[in-house]
Amino acid sequence: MRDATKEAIARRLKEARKLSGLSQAHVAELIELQRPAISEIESGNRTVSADELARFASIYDVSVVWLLGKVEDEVDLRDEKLQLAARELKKLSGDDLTRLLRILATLKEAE
Amino acid sequence: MSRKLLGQQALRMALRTRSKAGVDLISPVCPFDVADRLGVGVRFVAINMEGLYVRDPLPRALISTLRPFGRRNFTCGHELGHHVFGHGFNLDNIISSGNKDCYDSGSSEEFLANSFSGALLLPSLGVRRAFLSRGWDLSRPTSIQSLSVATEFGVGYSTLVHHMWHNLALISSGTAKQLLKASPQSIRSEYLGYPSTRLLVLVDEYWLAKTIDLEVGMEVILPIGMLPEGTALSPVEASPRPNHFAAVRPGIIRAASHSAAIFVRIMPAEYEGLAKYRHLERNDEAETC
Repeated sequence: MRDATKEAIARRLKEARKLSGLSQAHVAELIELQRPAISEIESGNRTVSADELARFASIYDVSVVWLLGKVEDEVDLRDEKLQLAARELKKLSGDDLTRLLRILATLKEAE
Repeated sequence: MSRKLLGQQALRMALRTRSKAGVDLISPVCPFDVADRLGVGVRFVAINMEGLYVRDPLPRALISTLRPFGRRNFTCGHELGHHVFGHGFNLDNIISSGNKDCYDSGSSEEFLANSFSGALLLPSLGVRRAFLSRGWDLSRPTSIQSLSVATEFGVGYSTLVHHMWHNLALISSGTAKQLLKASPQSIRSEYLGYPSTRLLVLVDEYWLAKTIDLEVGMEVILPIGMLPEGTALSPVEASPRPNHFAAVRPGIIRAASHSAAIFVRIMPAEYEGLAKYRHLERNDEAETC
């Protein structure tokens, strides 16, 4: 795995963990790894196996393709697959809308 | 479809949903637990909105953690309403169009979702039982009685009053307007005997909810003789009441007396993350990355 790719995955793993409300200690327990291993993974110093990546995605409720950096940071407004009921989107500030679109981009897809 | 018919439709669906979630028609219910039973993932986000429902690719509700505790519960019920009625539009349509059907606040979809949430969280039989079992006059409740019942059902004070007035027709407009003159803060302060801005949950021997749900910073009055285990609940020193506690750290603990026991679930204040992780214990150790 190229270093740049490893670092990008590490960044997204850390972002996904924070968005899920978990600490490194929680994740270590859930995924049955030592806590330093989580820290190493999030620093980009340890390679993540495909199996581990799938487990992280499941725990964080994000898609594997998002963790791999294969989708944009923000969801595409024209994405027909995304269907919402949202009464306040037009009132959101620019920052809040950006934040929302980033979260929507992470979402795990149906298997 | 008329508002009356929409309301009836919402009521039928709320009763069906309670049944599907294994909840009777009386007990208070946590909407996040119902979401879990229905397979709707809930995520708390620090975005200045109420919430939204994502139908596809997988059903999820995003709830703003910036709103008060009771309002978040009602919003979760609202988003579940969108789920059970299969609502959902393409994002581009919602943001760019002026189409009133795209979940304008006055649309029939929004009315249906609101009515569903009210019926899910505040069932008629349950509200009646809450007042009558305590020997309180259902048609002329006092503000502290109403606040007490609102906290048992996990909703805001004004939400309960409006529901009893408009949807259940249990109180007159005069009683409702009188109740709505008092703010939850003033009711709490009068009850405690000193000013308090902290949300207060009033638990007594008639409490029917399966758990006591709090977030750090909230306070609770437990029945006399019931004591919490551990340190997540701490006695409120300023209070003259020995059964007055403050939620000081997240986790799930047990509170028990010689005759009863209940779980107390505490989430962090302004929690961001998946609802299923909200009650995990947390320590303050720094992350190493």
